[in-house]
Amino acid sequence: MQRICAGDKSAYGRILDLHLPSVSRYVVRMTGTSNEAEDITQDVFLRLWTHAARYDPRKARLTTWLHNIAHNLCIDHFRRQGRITYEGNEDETPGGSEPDTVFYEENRGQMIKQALMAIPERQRSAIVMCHYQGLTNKEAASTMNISVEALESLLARGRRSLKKLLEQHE
Amino acid sequence: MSKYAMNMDRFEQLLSAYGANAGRWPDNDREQAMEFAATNSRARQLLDEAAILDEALDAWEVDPLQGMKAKILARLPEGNHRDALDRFIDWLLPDLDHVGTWLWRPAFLAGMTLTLGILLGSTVSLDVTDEADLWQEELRVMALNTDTGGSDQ
Repeated sequence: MQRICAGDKSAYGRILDLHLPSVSRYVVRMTGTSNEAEDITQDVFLRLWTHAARYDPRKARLTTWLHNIAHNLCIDHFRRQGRITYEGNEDETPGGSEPDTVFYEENRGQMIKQALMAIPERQRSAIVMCHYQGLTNKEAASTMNISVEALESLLARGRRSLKKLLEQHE
Repeated sequence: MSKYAMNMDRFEQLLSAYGANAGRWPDNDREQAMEFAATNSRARQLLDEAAILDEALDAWEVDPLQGMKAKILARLPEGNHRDALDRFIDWLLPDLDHVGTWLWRPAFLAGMTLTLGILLGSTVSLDVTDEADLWQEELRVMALNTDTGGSDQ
């Protein structure tokens, strides 16, 4: 990272090789579209280049720091687009009023994607970080700037919503 | 870390949050939860139920975006040295990613300007305080008072 701070592009390229696949998967799973994901992923790594001096290895692993930037950029992106979903009544199944058409997908992977896109962003982010990205609960909580207890609550609500959505479809 | 006794409530919390894969459970719960599941039939049943959602989630596979490294390198600015103001603010303030520099920086600069203004206002006065100016002011007041006590005959 010190070499990146000094403007060393080869060191930066090695960090890209190590972390770009994982961070891009996170962003794709958050946005659901590769076009949006490309823009946000580029921004994450451009910030790594310009803000490398801010990274403190004593505070977090580099992957956690990058996920933190990616998470914030995704939430900003959703907010700009008016796509933030507020977590309301748990008894209401998310996903809008047309679950039959929204989830009418043959492919199981696509069905999971649609279900994940239908739950609130913070629940989705918690599930993506803990289930897919392999972050520990403390890392995911730190990335989302919440306590571990709040993270567990988000995860549990998210998984309950997903289960309901999938049961509806089946 | 000291071991504690796992109970059904905490076990259910673990499964509802992290699913059935022990690898995703928090380090300080894992060992006790695995022992608990090995000796409790209800716990094993809950594990099997949680595994169904885990398996469903695993069905969405995502490939990394293609060609991203080249695109990022092409957009990279030549130097990554930030300007003096940015470096000063980085040094002065904590990480601003959560707050948003677009909001925080103008507020910070406005606050700095206000503080500077108050400091200047309390230490520098633009009033007439010079001794010569005070003398002139006294002469002006005296000139206004032209009544010399009945000398106009």
